[in-house]
Amino acid sequence: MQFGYPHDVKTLVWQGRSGRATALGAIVLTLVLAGLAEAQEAAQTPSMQDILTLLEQGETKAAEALLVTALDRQPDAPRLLALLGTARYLNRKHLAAEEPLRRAVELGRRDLTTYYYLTSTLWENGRLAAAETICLTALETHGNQLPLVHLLGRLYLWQGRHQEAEVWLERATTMSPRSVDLWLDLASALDGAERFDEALVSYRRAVDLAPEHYQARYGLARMLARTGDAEAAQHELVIYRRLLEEDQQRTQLEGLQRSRLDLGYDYLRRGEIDAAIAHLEGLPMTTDRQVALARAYRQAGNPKAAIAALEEAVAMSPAREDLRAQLAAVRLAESPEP
Amino acid sequence: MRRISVAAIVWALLISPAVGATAGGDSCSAIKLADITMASGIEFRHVSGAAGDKHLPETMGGGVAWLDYDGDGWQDLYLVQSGPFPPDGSRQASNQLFRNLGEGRFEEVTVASASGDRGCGQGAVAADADGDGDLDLYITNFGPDVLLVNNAQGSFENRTTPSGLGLDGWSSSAAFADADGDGDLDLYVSRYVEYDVEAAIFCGDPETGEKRYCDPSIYTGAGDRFYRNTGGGVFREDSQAAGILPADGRGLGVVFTDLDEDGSPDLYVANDLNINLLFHNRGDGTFQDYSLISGIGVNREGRPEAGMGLAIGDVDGDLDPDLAVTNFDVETNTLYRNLGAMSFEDISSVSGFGLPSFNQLAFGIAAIDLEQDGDLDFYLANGHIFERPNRENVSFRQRDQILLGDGAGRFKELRCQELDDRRTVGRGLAVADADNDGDSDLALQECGGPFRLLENGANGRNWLGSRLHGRAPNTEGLGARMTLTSTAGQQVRWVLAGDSYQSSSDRRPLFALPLDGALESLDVAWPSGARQRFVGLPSGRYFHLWEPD
Repeated sequence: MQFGYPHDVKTLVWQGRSGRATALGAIVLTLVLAGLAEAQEAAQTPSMQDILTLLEQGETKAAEALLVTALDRQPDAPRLLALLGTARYLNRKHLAAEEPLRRAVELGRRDLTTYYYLTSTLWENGRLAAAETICLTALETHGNQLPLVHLLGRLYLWQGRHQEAEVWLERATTMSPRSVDLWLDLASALDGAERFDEALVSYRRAVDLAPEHYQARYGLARMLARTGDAEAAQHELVIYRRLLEEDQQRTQLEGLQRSRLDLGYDYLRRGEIDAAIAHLEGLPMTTDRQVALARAYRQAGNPKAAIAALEEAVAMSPAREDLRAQLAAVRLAESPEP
Repeated sequence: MRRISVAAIVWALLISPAVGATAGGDSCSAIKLADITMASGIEFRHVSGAAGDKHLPETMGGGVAWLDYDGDGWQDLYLVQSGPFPPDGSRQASNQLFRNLGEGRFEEVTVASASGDRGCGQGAVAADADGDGDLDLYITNFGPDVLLVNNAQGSFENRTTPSGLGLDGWSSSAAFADADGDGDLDLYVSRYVEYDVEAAIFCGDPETGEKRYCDPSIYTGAGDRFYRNTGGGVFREDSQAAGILPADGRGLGVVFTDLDEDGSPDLYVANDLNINLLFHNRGDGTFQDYSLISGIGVNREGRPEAGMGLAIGDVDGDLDPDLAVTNFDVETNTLYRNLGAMSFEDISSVSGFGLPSFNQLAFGIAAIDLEQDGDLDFYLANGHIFERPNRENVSFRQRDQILLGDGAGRFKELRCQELDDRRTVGRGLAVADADNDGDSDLALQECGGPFRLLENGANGRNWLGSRLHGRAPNTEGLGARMTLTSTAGQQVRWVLAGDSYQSSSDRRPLFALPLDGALESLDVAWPSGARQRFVGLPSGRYFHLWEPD
């Protein structure tokens, strides 16, 4: 049971399940932020500013709630509708995302981001023909913008329309020749079109760009086998298996640690503070454990221990500004009144 | 002007159908499946054991097995119960056996047959494990598995321990075949994860306290087992020597089939979030791992999927076994075309098989000729594990799906109101010609819901069925390959014990003849190597076929 999908933006951006997924997510995130910047310029009300801030911070559920309220006042505001559709899409409410995005387009909102999310929403909802038409319309309007070119290529690839996919993905690799995702998708399209030698070249290119990318290794292995080089294929499969197992072990460990940590938080929610502290202290030392412990110590009325736990967290993850802010806040709360 | 045109496009698109839907199709008239559960006398409701603690075993059962346990020619039904969790061995956890009285009526005979195992049931497979000519039952449990041996007098005896079976842990599906060619049936058990009921973890939202089933990726795979039959239904755990270890990929589905047609059954295991396993049988019951090099271990993109159920069938008319795997939502179900020589190609997208499953979570699957037009279709039992799935357009209770095949490896979903209205949490699925009328009826288990029996009303067309009588101890001829030749072409079936999800189906190979096809011959390739050809068989009935000495 896997919780991810190639064009599920939220999964891609916030979970970053694979290098390939993260890269596509990054493209889309860039798009969103570009849209936000544009919208931000036009932001005239405090609530709009709040919405944009929330979206920028990834607080998409809160943003959605504010957008619904804002639309009560301005039901035909194209920008608000587009943002609501986008927020719903990011919240995986694909059915509910469709209506505001469609209305935004109807009302004249035809920016790249809105088209992108409308296409993706239709795709998520199984409306592939509609997604294709919208994406083609967007390309007609905006020209060969890379995210749209890639999206259309993937849409064709998804349907097994390999020859059409190849045209767009070829174009995309020309526009961004250092993207491993694009080379992988192009390779897959060429493979599906039974142009194995060309697919082999594309898979090699992907592996050259990202030697640790297990899917690239698998594609290369499969194509080597197809083109008769069984020995090289076997070699690539050994590498593939190693990389995959490393990724799986990492996933298992992270998931297990998260679940153990969440039990500590659950104890805290239930007010079982001693149990929470005992449980958390028994877990391996990580930044997240220290943060949880700090919260538990504070709830136990032990601010010194909380500060010490947060100091250790900051020491372990010095680049995390949020931890420094937390530490400062706790220190401030515990400092004597002037 | 342009603005109007874009709006028009958008409006037009809004009324366009979703992918895979049969255009304009709002009726299941092509398929006649009637829910006859109530009329059949079968009253069974699966008890998942879910009580809010979100233990993973609660959401994974249960299976169903068809077997003619009393040898009267009618397929009886064994339904696996999970029961309260943690397991308490109470009456609520009892599996149930329903005897087929004919004419669509069943009676419960659990107590009289002593078949009501009270373990935390997951699945069941029927086979003649001891080679004495009647069908025994192997039951997979969360807890020790059980072997019920048929005493040929209408009841079963629990012979788990004397048979060398009964491994504790979490087993899911099981399959029998004569893997080592010595005549008796060996056993493979796919096992899921090492699950500790008392584990100090919390899955869900700790801020609200809402629990969810944990992502299985946090658990270690339990490690499958291969049991070699040493004769008379006594088994020896032989996983290491057979070459299948570690096989710890969180196994859920398993099927034995001779995929490269070299005369020995190969083994395929559907794993959850791990590489699916293909073990090539060297001919002596030892195996070589072909999972990756064959192209069948992961999807086309090189990603392991959440394998659940399995189906075997020739979907493209080239007479070799292709293989379908059911997966999680946001993945698609996967169809692998057999290219020969242990090489496979993922054709899920180009075939139309995968796309309709994008927002579905499938468990049980059957490759059957629902339309009775001579080519294989698929029936899928869907249902999520989460009451509130992550994505809005994915539901907990889901419609079953029917994919109609064209015989050349392409599929299209049949969408109709009857299926849309009937939403369940599907798990086990097994097929049988329960009324002996020449078509495949469907037994469907719902996790935490009522059992359903769907009668196929496609009877009345040309068909031919056969009941194989193999030489003991493989008395059902498991592993046999049947080829029917008609003026319209050829069809092939394989005789299997254990497939789909935690289930096993009717062994009698069933063929539908296209209306324009006249039957020419029926060929049987027995697992012993013996070959038979039958000509001049009239259609519309079952034949008993005995393996030659």
